[in-house]
Amino acid sequence: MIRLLRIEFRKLKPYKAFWVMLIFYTVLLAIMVFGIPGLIDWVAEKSGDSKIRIFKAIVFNFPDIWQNIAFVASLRIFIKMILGLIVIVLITNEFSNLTIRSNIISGLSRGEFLTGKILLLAALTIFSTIIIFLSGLYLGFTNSSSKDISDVFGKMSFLGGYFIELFIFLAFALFIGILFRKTGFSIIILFAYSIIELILDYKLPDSFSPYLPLNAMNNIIRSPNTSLIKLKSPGFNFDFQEAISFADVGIALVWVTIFISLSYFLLKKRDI
Amino acid sequence: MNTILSIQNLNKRYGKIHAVNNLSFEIEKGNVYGILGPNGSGKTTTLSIILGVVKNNSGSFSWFGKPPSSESRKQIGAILEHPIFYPYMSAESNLKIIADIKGVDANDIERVLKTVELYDRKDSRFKTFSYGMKQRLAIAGALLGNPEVLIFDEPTNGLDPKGIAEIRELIIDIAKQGITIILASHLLDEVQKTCSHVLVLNKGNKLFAGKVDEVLNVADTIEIASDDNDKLQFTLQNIDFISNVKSDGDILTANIKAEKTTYDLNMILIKSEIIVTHLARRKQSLEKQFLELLNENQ
Repeated sequence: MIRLLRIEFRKLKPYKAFWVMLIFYTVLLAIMVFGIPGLIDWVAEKSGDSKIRIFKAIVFNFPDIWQNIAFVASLRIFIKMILGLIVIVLITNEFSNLTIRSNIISGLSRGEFLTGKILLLAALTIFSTIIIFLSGLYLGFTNSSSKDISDVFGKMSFLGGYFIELFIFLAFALFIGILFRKTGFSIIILFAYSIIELILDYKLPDSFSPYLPLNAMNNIIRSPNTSLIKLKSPGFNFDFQEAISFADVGIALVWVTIFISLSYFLLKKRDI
Repeated sequence: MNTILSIQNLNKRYGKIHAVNNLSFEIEKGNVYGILGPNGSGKTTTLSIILGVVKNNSGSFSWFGKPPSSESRKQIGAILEHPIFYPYMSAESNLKIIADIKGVDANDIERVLKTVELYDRKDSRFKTFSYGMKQRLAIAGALLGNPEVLIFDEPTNGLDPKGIAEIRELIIDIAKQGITIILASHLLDEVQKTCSHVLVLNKGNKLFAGKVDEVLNVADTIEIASDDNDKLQFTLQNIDFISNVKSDGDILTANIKAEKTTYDLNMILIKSEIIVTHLARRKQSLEKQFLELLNENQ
């Protein structure tokens, strides 16, 4: 495990494009996270709508902040796409530079190669989760009305949900990269599929909806109950998510098993 | 355990093309094998299969008497076609990855870089290297950890004459250390200069396998004539190192074994009281022999 991670890290360390993309992702995430309070203030001032101020007072409250921040960071076709792109670039480079071939010739097994990449996905996911965690702590402590320990740590399971959701998304990107092997084409497929699934979701009967792969991962963290809609229309009773559901996680875990098994099968069966 | 590699009835098809056709051969420890064949004869495909990157359709092979695995590949140093490295990484970092994969001490990197004379360029990125340097780095990668077997696929392809000479010297030096080498080449001259054994491939088929001297130094041609060609022909037919005697107008032609000289022949003829009026030996070029070998087996 450590050997495989070390090999992956050796490949990344001098790879400038990777670090540029990762810093870009981090900066974008930071701007978003830290810019939101100011943005809300600005909107509230412009519109003069007092409810927006109430919204701000609620949205950063412990423990709801964990759900809110995890929800925003894991929105589909949004900031997590950058991490998906990083994964596609890293895996397809191995094919276009033929370095996967030299790895295998040197004595790496196909399974070890895939394991190394999966460990890399886990590392990226941990990195992103830590950023979300730190941002949540900062925003919470600067804005939350309650700073009780029980509130600070309440709903932190959403961070776990975020970890699972992001990891599955990156495993999906890895699978696309292994399937198509060409960088540009794989990136197009990742974006195209994200849109195709929305259309599929619309066309197919509702009962299929939770089982589509992107839906399955996105359903782990659903719209938080601090939504503006609820404030705007208090009489309207939405069924908001209060905790991570094991059923949602279960469906998503089936998908990640499929992505990883298919990736392994493709690596095993094909000429490299 | 003297058999390093054993291949049985290996087959690989790419659609209609039968790239490797029922190939079987064995590689013994300590020899230098040349796999000789024109471009497209299945050399690289065969090597790709035994190195685990291409899947064979049928047949089997074993390394060191065991079924192939990633563990057996760790004991093989190989370059396949072009030198492959991470372009943005330095020579040294690229070799560190190979060392990590093979489980070899990183201290060995200095030795192999010095062997291929790239040590002072260890911090330069791979993409800044000339083709010859890339090829030398590939050889350094293959040498990491002192593998039992080295596989070189067209190691002098794309090099200038000086580079070719350096690489060949390097291979001969390595061979002297008793390491088993498999060298694929379409250059007969290269195989003849560096290898002890040869396997000739054409269109995925094995044409010949054996020692280089036996396969490639078949025989030279002699032209000979005397006052009495009939008597001469009769005498020649009874000499054991002469074969294939034919009459060609006023002169006779025949093949003479490479190790025998015209002096040996003349001595016998004089004892048989034949005085030759014409005697010439034609050294058959190896290139010509190789082409004949391929043509005979079309």
